[in-house]
Amino acid sequence: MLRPDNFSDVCSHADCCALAGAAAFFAGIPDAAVVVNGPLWCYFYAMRHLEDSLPLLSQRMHCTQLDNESIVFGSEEYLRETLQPYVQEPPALLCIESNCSASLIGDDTAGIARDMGIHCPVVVFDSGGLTGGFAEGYVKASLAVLDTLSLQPNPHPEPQWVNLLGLTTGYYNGVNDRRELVRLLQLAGYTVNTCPGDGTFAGMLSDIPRAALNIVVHEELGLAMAQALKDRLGMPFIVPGIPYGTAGTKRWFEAIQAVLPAPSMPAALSEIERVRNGLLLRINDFKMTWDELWFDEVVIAAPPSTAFGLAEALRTEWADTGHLTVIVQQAAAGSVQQPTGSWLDTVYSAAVDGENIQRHLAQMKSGLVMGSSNESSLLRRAGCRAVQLFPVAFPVEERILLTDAPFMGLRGAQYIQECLWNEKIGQIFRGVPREEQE
Amino acid sequence: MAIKAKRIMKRRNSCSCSMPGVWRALCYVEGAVVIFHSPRACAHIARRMDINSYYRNIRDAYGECELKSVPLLSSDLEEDEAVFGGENRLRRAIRYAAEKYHPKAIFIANSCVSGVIGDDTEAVAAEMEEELGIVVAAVSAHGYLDGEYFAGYIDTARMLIDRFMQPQPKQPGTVMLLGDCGGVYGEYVQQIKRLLQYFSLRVTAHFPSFIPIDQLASAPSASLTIVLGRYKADERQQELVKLAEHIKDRFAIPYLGDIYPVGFEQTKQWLQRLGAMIGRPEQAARAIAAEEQAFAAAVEQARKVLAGKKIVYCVGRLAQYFQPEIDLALLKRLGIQLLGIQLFDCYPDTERQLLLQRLQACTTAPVLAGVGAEMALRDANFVLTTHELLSAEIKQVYTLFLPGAGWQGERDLMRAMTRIVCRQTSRGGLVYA
Repeated sequence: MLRPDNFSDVCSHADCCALAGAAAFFAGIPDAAVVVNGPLWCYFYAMRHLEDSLPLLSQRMHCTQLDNESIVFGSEEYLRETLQPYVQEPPALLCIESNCSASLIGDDTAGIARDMGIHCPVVVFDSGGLTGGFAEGYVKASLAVLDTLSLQPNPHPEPQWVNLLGLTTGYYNGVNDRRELVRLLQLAGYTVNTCPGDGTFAGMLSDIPRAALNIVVHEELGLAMAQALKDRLGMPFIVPGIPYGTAGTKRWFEAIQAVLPAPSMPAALSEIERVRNGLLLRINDFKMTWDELWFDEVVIAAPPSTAFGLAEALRTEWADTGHLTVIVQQAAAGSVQQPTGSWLDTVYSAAVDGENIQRHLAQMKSGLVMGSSNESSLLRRAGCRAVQLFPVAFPVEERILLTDAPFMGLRGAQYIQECLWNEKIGQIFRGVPREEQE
Repeated sequence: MAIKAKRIMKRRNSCSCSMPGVWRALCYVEGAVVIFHSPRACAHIARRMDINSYYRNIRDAYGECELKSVPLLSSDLEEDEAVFGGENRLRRAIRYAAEKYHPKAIFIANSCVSGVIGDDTEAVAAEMEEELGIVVAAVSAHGYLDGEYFAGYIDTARMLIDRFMQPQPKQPGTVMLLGDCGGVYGEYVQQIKRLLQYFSLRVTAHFPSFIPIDQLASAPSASLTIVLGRYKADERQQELVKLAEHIKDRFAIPYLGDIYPVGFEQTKQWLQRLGAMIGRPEQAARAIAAEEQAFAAAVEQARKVLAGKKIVYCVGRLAQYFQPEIDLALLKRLGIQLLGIQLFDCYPDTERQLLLQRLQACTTAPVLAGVGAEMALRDANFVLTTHELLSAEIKQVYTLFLPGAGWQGERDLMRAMTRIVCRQTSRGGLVYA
């Protein structure tokens, strides 16, 4: 059966290719080396996507620099040249990912690496645009790594040990979000065992079965690995959503607690109360001078788990709005259930609703966009200068992120509300006409 | 304190992709629609380039930010098409584009995937042109396989010339700019326009990216084509010159394309050549004198801060995209002492020799390595470099990959060097020229 045609304008489509998603997973293993078997162009754009969070990635991510000749006569010579340094100095894990044209010619990449005598685990797979977008590449990489690990079921996992699945520095502010989740879990008495693809070293990946529970964070990235670990090793997992906002953080803890009771949950709940009350009192006081945080229109554009999670927190906790639209920035949105609830008005998929999104953004006179420079540039081109932008997804060109404030968890709730309020007041000081502020 | 660059590699080739070149040639050509015959993910690269350029332009060339880009679609190839071919999918994408946007022309950019699976997109384009009654054209290059960014750009421009331009009576004193160099509002074009004012010449067309389809027919009314570019030795630039030759053959428009006004000395030669071409050598002489005076004043101002300073020159750029002669001549004029040159380990032997010859033709400064390099670095006030160095202590001035027209590049370099010298000693870091 023919799949549905989708030829819509790519202007609103900010997802990148599977090559970047797969590289993101491997780049998140600090002692892994990544080789892109493909042309410089594809390599460069995948790497640039990740360099924002990993500025020295180019030191361990390399490219075979394929050209026309290699596609006609095979890429073996190019691969051998690029892999040669790893014969003498093998990394802890070597990942070779082929772009779409390299995957079509079907060279035995694994065989070539084996034949060269590289003495480290080597993960080889195809991950070009034919595979899909960022999420598909990430998922494929995570499963390919599992295949090389030969993990065994662990009948006696460490109680209160958890793994965090589906985290990545390839998502905007991913590094700080991971730190916040680890902090919160430790507050409740859990031990975070591993975060595959986001900070856990190659040698530690074999410890994955020591945890008693896998917690999926970004569902579109981590669910497949969680399912595979359940199928292969019987490891339980949970998809508790993402802890955005204080209420969201509380719900997140309660969901985990229901599956794996925490020794220090009262401490965590008490901390949530403290932060929630502090925010409430401080913001109530602030409103006396500056009125409510109200937006006629809010658009949230991000990968699905981020977008839906932020949307719920924004509407139910951080601000009031007349209309809320979510733009799902990855074609893999189907893997994430769209939430139900009166807080969500409109949902677009960037992969198929390009023209609708462009029209929607162009009609905004004021309000808030939590998204990327993709939406921001569309807004500015349409002359919508009074719309606030809060970057929550790559690419981000017009803001620099230097602090360690996360979006997730309690610190995230504080940080996002601080930014939204300060930007509202900044608009007043910059003289944005009153009717366009709200 | 060894010198190590943040990102440097031995480049086997210059593997860019032809599809963004097609997009760049057409992105503001009102009336056109572009289809990438590719996986959908490939289009994000064009989109990302578009966003990057938008934000650069916000700083430098705001006008271009107001331009509206034409629709960019993707035929959305997936693994099924890799097996069974993507021609039918492309036909449907073309029909969709025609129905949705009612364009005057549809252009197809081929990906490496369509090249490997062997889709005959030119045949599909011809067939669809007949069916739809509008121009439908496929660019011959396939991703990075049989052409690069510039091949896509040139091929598209040639199609626009052949399919839409018409012979016109010439309007005296008018110029058509050919090429891009940062766009119609960019620094390069602004400098060119400034230089053309010496001759009271005005730009009536900027081809290919900035003329709507329905105005292409009248573009050959210009009496002169000026080819935009930077490096004569760059083989891609030579393709652009061939395109100018093509325009000359078809529409009898002479062109200036064997010299580019990049750097002070070349700008003088360019002004002289332009004056000779249009029969106004006296105006050229006056223009050169005015530029010399302005340049001398700028150099004198910079010398106050920079004379006597010591630097190391770190080089990792390929010879065909690099004009160290301009940098080195400026250093000499400013009285800056060049302690030595460090070549990064990224060159094939022949390329290294070629670059060394060019550098040594301009300076007697030694080529540094090992301890010598470390000593020079310790003595230097700052480093002039083509690649960011991995050191928080070293003061670096990053030389532009794409210098502006006129002596804008020298002006930027003098400003950057002045700023880095004024930086307090405890801070290293980078200043972009």
